[in-house]
Amino acid sequence: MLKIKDLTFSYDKSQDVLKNVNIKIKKGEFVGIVGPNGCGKTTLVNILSRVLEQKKGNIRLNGEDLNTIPQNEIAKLIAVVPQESMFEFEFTAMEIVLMGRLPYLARFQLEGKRDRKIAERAMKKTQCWQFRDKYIKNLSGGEKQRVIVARALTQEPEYLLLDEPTSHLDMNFQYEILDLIAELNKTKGVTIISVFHDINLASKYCTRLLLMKDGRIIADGPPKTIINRKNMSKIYEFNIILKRHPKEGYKYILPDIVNTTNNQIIPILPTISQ
Amino acid sequence: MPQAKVVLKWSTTLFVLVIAIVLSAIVCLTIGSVTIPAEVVFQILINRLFDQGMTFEHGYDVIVWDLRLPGILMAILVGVALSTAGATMQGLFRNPLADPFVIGVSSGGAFGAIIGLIVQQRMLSSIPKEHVLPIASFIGAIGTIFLVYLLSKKGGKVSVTTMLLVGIALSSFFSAVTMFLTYIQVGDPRSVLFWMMGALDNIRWYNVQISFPLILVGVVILIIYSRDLNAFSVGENTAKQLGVNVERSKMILLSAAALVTAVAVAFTGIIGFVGLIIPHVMRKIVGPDHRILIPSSALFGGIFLIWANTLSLNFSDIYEALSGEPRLVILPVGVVTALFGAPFFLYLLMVRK
Amino acid sequence: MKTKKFVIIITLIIIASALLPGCIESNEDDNGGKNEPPISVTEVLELNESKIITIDNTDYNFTVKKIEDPTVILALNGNDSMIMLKSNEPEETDTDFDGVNDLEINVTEIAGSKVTLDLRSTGSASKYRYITDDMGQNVKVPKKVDKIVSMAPSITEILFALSVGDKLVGRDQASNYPASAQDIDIVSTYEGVDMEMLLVKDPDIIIMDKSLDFYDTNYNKMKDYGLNVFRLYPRTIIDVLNNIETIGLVTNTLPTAKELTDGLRDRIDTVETRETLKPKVLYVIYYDGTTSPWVGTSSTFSGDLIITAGGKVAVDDEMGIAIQITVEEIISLNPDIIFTSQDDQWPTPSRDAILNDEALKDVNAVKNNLVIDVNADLVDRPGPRIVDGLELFSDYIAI
Repeated sequence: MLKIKDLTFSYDKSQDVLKNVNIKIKKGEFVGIVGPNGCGKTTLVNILSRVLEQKKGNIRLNGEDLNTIPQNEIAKLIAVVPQESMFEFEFTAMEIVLMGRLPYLARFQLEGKRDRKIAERAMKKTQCWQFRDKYIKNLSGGEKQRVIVARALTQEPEYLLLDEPTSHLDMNFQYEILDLIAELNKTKGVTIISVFHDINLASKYCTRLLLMKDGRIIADGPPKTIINRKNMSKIYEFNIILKRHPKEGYKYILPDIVNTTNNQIIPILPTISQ
Repeated sequence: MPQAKVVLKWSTTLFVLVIAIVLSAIVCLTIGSVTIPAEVVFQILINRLFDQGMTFEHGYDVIVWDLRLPGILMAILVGVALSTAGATMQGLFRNPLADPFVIGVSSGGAFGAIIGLIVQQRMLSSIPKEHVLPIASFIGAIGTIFLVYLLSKKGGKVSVTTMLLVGIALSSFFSAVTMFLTYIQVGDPRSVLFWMMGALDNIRWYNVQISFPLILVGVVILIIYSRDLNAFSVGENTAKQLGVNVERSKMILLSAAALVTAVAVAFTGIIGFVGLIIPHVMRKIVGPDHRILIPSSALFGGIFLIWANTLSLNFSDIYEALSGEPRLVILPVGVVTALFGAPFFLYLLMVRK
Repeated sequence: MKTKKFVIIITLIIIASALLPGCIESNEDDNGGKNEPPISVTEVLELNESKIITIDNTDYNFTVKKIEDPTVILALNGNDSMIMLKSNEPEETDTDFDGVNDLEINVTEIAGSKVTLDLRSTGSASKYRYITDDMGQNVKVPKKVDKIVSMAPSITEILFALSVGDKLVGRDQASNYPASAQDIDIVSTYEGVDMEMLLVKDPDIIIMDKSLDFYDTNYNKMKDYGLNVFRLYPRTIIDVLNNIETIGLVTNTLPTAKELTDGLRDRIDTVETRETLKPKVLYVIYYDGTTSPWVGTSSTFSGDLIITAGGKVAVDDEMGIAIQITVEEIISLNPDIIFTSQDDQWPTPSRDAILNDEALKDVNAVKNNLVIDVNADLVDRPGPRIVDGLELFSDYIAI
């Protein structure tokens, strides 16, 4: 269980980026975080992964204060898949995935048979085993992301934190990766907390949606409840058309054409976010 | 690659490098401005190591044991220090063009040295210059790192990018002041200038005795933390998320790298390109995993500097043999490393395009 | 294609402009003073007699070497002889006589061992004479020298030794001996000659040492302004003695100069007669324990001093300048005596560095405590005090 209480955060002293966030996430949930740019969703993820240091408020992970858990213990519990990764050196995909075993190895311990088996399984699951000996520098965006997810899996985490994991991928990969993550969530019970740029994707995959705006959580609940006109008007500037997927039943939104003299359409994001 | 294969590959590489370094040391022990036959060199070594009580003529014994051997050992130590520090910096800054001097160690060291020189001349003339200079230089180098660290610290965290920029700014400042002080400093600037170009040509046993433990400690620390360096080299946030205590590891890595670099600079001046080129070459051969990269860079750095030093000390004889013209001066070892390093560096830049 | 042409043209222009200054030769004006009436003198000389005859403020030292009526062999200023024919016509001297372009010599009478010479100074260049300097140049030197500029400390010392130090109007920065030299204005620093200062001083003659201006930077600058520059280039003790006499000639103090050099020669002879065991001697210019030492060689002054004092020079070299050797080589050479160059103003650490160096402890000179500081000015300066240096060396080299 992840309990976030009264979390407030600011980068500099002037403005709070997160204001009094209170969330309780139970094991096994697939939580999506959606909101306009600058609403604080990435900050929230960074605080959870301890990239940013939280000072005001209280976060408890499995009952313990996050700040007191040693870094490498956290790494065994929480794995992170960032939006994008740049690689400077010529590590192979396999070497990158093996780094996920870091928290489990003693300082001088080399990766053993078991570690390699775990890595292999993760890579086969994410379908990147075939380029395990290729340099990660030379892989495409989608292939790279699969390797990163494999690395996260190798950490054998209880919680998987993702920050817009598919915003740089084409549609094929988007669904592939998310299908994979959904399967992990169902079969292994890994708790997923993911920031989505595309609310429709979130609606399809998540069991629970958190809407954020201006550093606050303005709505919290299952997608079919949360995605309504009122909430959407709070986070989007255009009118929406609400639809339901004919086969799978999840709600999705489309932008409504604004009736102006020129009949301009305000394009919906998600395109490449900042 | 299965684990057994990796272990084999690493062990073989290190073994080969160790053999190479020992051979290089032995060969270069026989090369010098005074011609001493190889058999005599061996006899001298055996005599000294096993206390045989032989005597040698023409001062050969002193030349081999008290001059050449410390010089070679120092070359190894400095080569080890600069290569490991360079590899560390490249990993920490995630930039293969970083080198050990990138956060101002060298200019701080030079600045410390010139201040030490002036102070020694005016106030401490009883203490010989060769004792004052290294200490002053070391203080300058470490002090600069400290300063860079303090200036880059924001809210308990230190950004490597900020350190880089602060380092550049401080380097420029110290360089300018050092240049000026060298210029107006009357008396002989020769020793300072030579030191600033990198000098391995007058090493005695006490230099080795002091540097050895310091550099050993630093390099061991770097090897211990090489796993953290792997994580750093793919990203600082990633490292954190993989369980590395980032701020603490960063401090330890930087301190160890700074220590070994400062010691090297204090005794031998600024020898460039070693810390840049060696890790680069080794990365191509053994890969970017720092657990093998650091030790193998260390060994290769030692080999490289042994030969560069031998070349620098015997340059004039080689020159005379090739051109028939008489020798003039001793070439500073920093010039030799630059002669090899600079074209290689340019080649690297072009390949990166 | 166009760019290529452009580049070639620019390159040619750059090359041409670099070569151009070399093509234009400077035109020296030989017409010094206004036209004065020639001055003539008649003198009678005996065979083998040397007589100094003064014409128009210039001393000429004539010697009658041989008389064979009607020819007379004359020597002028100790230089090459000239065969003169008795005649009633004045005869222009030819350029066999160095530096004499404006003197007419006429042998008017020969009587037994006596020769009558009729000497006439001619021409508009009577204010000047020509003396050949060490670089082979016929330098135009005024007959009256009242304002001298010295560009080397050795030259300054010589001038003071010849008692013409009061005629110095400018010196180089390093000239510091004798003490009164320091009161003279500096016209040349380590950066180079200060042309403004120099021109203000309006010197009659500038005397310099080529070894301090090896690439002629200062020399060329001064020549561009049409100044009279006399260059010396001594490399041995003998050269120094010759230089003293040459400066004597230039400053019209030749007798004083000869007296000085005679005294110096005596002292040198005394040194040379001392018995020595020919010890191997090394002259260390700079060593501080952290870089390889700079030493003097067989072709520097220190080398000449060592040889003259009866020692063996440790390092053999022809370049004539200080070189760097390794500590290894010092051990291998194993000198018996080491002289370390020392300076009052900027002390050098050489002696201490050598004595403290554990690698040098078995060297003869170190073992026998024969590492001696010597004042660099007594060894490196080609002036009268070089004989002081010689005597100092000899004190240790001789038994």
